[in-house]
Amino acid sequence: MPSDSAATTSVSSLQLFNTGTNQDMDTTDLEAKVIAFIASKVENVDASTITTASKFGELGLDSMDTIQLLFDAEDTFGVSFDGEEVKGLSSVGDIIDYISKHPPGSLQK
Amino acid sequence: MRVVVTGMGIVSPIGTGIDQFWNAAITGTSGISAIQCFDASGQHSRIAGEVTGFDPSTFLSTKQVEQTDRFTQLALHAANLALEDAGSLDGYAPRRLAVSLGSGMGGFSTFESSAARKFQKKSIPPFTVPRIMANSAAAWIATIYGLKGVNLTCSTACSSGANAIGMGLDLLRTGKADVVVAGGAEACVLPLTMSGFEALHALSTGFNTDPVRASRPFAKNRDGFVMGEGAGILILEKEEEAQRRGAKIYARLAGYGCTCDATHIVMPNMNGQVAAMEAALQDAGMQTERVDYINAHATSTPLGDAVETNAIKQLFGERAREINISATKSMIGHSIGASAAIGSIATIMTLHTGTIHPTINLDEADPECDLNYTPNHAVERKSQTGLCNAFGFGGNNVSIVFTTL
Repeated sequence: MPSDSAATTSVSSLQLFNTGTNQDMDTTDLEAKVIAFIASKVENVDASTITTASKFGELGLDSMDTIQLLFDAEDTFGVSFDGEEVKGLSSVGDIIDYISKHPPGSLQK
Repeated sequence: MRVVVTGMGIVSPIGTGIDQFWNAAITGTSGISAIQCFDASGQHSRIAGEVTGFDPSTFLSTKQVEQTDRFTQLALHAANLALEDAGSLDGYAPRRLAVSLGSGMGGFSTFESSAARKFQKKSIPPFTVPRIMANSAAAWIATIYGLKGVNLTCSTACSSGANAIGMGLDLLRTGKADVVVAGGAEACVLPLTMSGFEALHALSTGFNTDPVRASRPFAKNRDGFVMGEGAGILILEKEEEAQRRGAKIYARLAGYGCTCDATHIVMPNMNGQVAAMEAALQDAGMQTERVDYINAHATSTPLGDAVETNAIKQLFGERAREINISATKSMIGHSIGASAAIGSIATIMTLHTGTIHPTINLDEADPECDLNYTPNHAVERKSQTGLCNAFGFGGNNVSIVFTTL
């Protein structure tokens, strides 16, 4: 995924996220959307540097920021970040994997 | 030891900042209108004194806005203004800088919205608890300004702000702090909170189509209080230290009295109110003769205003009629835990400027309320000693004495 497109799509693609469905997203779409979403949430980070390998700490997110980020991602992606599994999430790629494995619609919109 | 007020900040339905607030107050401006912040069509009381045009993102980051309830945001804005007004406190050690804040409901906006999500089986924002907790505003003020001394929050319903200022006075007198950021904040123009007060028949319901006339303390046809919101902050220091650093001094905070009725959880009690005013004057080392202004609690409830009138008559006797009284709530409604902090600011400005703001909507006084409430128009009269009264659910009665230097 070219990184500059993630930066430029961050705001407009948020509108798309609010549809709450990711069933028809392919992996590349999802990756772009998660990166754009995270770019919209972090402060003082060049969006073009965010990749699937980026750790939350590297993006300036402390443990409480990460919890907030996952909460915000619930409404955006229509998934619930719940249970023990969530505690192991530490990178952008982990969020993408989590969303891919968990079908949307667990939250009422 | 003498304690003085060296800075003030206010966010209110009739203005932000001392000048805007005071100019509106002395011209008898009402800040009451139809509720805008939620759909109030299902409420019996559909009017309030809201702080409009308030944008916390002008002084907080996105993350800070996300982590704070509206009552904290209002408190922070008032604290910003008060600290700016007070000038540099750099000469004080950070551990000697205290915060003493009052709020009746705390982060109730967050409580209501998170509860609604929970009952819909949705997950709730992670900062729900730190936004709701009553000491959130005090903690945020300390965090943003590096105030590392005592950090207290008082929750005594409608008298919270007055207790917080009184606690600030005690912190300075007992040597536990050198500066206290003291006041109150409230943001509960909210459906559940208002329904709760409606259920007690405490809110005005007869003026929904004529909001500016709804808050009418001491008037014959008053029918309950109008919900308000806002924040008021005072900077308190020892007089000699304030003078040493060349600070502007608005007034002296001379005394604080506080009693509990211990009779009923919501009904006012004249004896408790008299005792609180007496205790405040005793604390200030003064006789009743010195008092020439009273900022009344006066919420516009049928019972409360009559009881306070009787309490003033009981304590001051024949002199009661010579005292100018005014009800700030006639213009801004009742901002619960912020109300006495705002009332204190009005009292201080009365002493500082020589103008007494009016009690508006006093077209026809209740025969039971027969004192000089400064009806409808401001009065130019030098006052030297002012009381600010605050009475809250729980039977709490608080009175604070301010004087000119």
